[in-house]
Amino acid sequence: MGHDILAVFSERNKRILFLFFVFITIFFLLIYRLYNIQVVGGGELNELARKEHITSYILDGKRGVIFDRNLKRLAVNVETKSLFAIPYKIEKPEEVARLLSIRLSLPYQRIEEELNKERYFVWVDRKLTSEKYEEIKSLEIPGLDFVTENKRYYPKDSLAANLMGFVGVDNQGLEGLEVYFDEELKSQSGLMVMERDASGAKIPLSIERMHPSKNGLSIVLTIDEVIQYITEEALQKANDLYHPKSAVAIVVNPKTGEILSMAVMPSFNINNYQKAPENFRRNRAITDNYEPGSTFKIFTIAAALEKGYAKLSDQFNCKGSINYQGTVIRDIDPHGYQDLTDIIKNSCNVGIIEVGTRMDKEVFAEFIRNFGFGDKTGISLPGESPGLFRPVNQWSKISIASLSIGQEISVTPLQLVMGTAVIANDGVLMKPLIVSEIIDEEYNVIKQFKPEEVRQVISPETARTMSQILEVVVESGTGTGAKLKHYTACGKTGTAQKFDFSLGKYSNEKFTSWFVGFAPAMDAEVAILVMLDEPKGSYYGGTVAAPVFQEIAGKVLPYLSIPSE
Amino acid sequence: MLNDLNTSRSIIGKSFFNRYIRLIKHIDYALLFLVLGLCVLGLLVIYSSTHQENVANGTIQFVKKQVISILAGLLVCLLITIIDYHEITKLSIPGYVLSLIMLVYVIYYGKEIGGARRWIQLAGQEFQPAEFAKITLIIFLSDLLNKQKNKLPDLLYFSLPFLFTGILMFLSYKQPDLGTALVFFAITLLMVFIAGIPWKYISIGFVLTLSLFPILWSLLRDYQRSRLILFLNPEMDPLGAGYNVIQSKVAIGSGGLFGKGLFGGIQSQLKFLPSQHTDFVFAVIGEELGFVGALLLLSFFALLLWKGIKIAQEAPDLLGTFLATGITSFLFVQILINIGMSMGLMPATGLPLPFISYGGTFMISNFIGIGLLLNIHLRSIFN
Repeated sequence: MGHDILAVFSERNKRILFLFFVFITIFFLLIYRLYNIQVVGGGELNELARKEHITSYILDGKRGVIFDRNLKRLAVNVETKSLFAIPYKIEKPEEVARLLSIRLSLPYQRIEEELNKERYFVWVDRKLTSEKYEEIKSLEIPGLDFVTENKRYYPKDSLAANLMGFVGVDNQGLEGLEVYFDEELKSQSGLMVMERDASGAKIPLSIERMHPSKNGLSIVLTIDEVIQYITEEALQKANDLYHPKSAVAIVVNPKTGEILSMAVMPSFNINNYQKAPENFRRNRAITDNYEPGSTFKIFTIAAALEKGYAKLSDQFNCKGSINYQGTVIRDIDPHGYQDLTDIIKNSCNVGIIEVGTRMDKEVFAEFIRNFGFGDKTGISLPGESPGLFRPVNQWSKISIASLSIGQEISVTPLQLVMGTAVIANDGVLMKPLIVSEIIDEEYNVIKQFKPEEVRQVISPETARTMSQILEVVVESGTGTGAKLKHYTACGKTGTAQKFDFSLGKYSNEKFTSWFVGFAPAMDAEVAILVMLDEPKGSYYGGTVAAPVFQEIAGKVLPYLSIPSE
Repeated sequence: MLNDLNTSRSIIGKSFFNRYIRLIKHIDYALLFLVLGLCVLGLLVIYSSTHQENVANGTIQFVKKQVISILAGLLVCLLITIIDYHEITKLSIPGYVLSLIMLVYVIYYGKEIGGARRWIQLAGQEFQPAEFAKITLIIFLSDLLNKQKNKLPDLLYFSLPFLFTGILMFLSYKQPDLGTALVFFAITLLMVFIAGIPWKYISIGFVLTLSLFPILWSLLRDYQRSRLILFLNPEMDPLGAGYNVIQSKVAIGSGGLFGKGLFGGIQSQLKFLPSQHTDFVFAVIGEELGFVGALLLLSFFALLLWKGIKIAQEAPDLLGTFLATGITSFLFVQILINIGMSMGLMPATGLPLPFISYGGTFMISNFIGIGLLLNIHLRSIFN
């Protein structure tokens, strides 16, 4: 019996000891784990801990200003407040989301989702209007706070909108100059690295590093705000009269290639660009191609004169149509006997084709290229089109005749005005200039863009002769609608039938109306292009576009203090 | 006669007094000071982890309350030490029933904190019936196992404790407090093991539990399931339910070999750690005192458990052995689950660390346990 008790007792003692060994074994497992976490993996976890309690705050820098040539501000920055939330500090996310969705006119669903995220920081709404800011601030909801962010603002709303472009919510350039010069304009956000506690609050006096934000550089345009305004106003008037599908007017300094204004319709309010349809935002002056029609005759005649294929004294007899290589090309009326000046003055297709077809194909093609067609002008704007000009080996037998009168070629309005400016600039093609300087905040010039000659296209003599001819066009030809009261002017009208792809031939209903010219005639200060695409009612370039030239030149020349003649 | 009576009274009085002096002289002071040492470490850690609390005088509040808890615990401990544990065990059934009532009460009228009803408001103090129940369960089971020894058929003798514990587990699960249910079960298992449950029953029970796992799984609440899943893969939801475990691991890991020094724990100080003065207090120790500090703490705990085991072995009778193993098991399970949880070895069930974590009821029930150990130790000397 005693033996039994002893056996039971020692069995119990064994079990108790066994229990202790189990305890100790498990303790060793804990220690092994501890060793792994603390000693083996310590460095890695320590780094993770550091990252976790250090946070960085973005310091918003200011985007560069866009100035006009007289340092008037076209694009500036305004400080706005952006609303963010610290979700776990918000006690009743549903209620807060309801309050905010009403005041911000944002979907309740989206806000509620954000507020329920397990994060230290979520954006609720960026760049609020001051009314919304005041209203939400007055609610004093814990867990909501504001940061100051700079918002792009265009004080003139729609002025030069298609040229300027716009920026996205993070101030990144999206269109126009804003995107082309984004690298220069954009600011560098600063970074403040500091310790924070788990609630995301800054710990005072614990800043670790600070990289201050850097404001962007500013750009100075060649655009003159006043000329831009004049141009847009004149184009708007024509738009109201003829309701074209689109319209472009460009004013260039022919001697330097500086773009003084560039108006495009339809347009939009930049401050509200999201509401504008995509095709309203395009800069049609450089992105779209149009057939130049009769305005192109300038280049046909210039080339023929330069190479001696034609002389001012040449005589032509227009019977109202011409048969070239079996294709009959008609004129509006038979013009009868004319000299070289007359065929341009009357925009006589028959006469021009006769001159044009005298030329060697290659020679004519080279001149067309030299005037800048079929190539990008290289202007500092995004999305430029090179136009459409086929190489000689793709020409048909009548191509040279078609090209003489501005068919079988498409040009951008900018190409056409730059080509015309060659006549006013002693035969030299300039590169169009839109930005003259990049400056810093203290107005120090960082980079300068100087006028750039591309090439001598025709001799100064030929240029002078062409000017004389084009002056007659305005004085007594198709371009009388462009005649100025106090100045002489040169120019050429164009009424291009649009090629109707559905019919496979030129339309009799859709036209592109042009006027391109310069003034004063013999010492031009401005070259001006006006284009109305598919105007309604009237469509002759002389009727629709020439008066716009007249209005622009009539106002711009006095503004530039050009003495009247 | 009168004189006689007086004399005998004085003799009784004197012997009564002498007896207690004798008892107090022979208290296992090593154990007591070990426990008090742990309490002091706990106070330091609580101070460290709460001294940035936003509440005005927050830290003082926490430390003050913990000091009061320790003093109250010490008092209760000495009281328990002096009264013979056989007397205390007479209250085993009322104690069990009282725990039962309180656990039912807390489900319906308890104060809800963080989705669980675990607290009862008692005389202006918050009181956790579950902590009290752990001690009453140990006493009750010791009494049961002792009295029914060789009276009941084996199967009934070894399964009856699980029945009584099952009721308490069910009530804890209802609170819901999965951690406490787990502790109830583990204590019972270890006590029944010491009571001599045959190995074959243990194997059968093990197989049975495994086969019951799908059913148990379906009984768990969503957050309990997610805790278990996240225990296996905490990175699955680093900012959600897995947050605590990852933060705790990060904190411990960042402590390295020697730690960042007391009050120097970035993770703990900046409150990346949740419940850093209660359930995740070990993470603060790991971060601020490093591997060496944590090792030292574990050594103290191991020593504490060894003391318990020794007392269980040297107990004057079976009741003493059961009580001592029950209490030692209770301490061990709490330590294991708490530390294991802090290191991502155990599901985050929310159990405090004995003598270290902040919390009044828990501190007092721990001291009751120590009181019982000291008590058994004393009786083993004098019997």
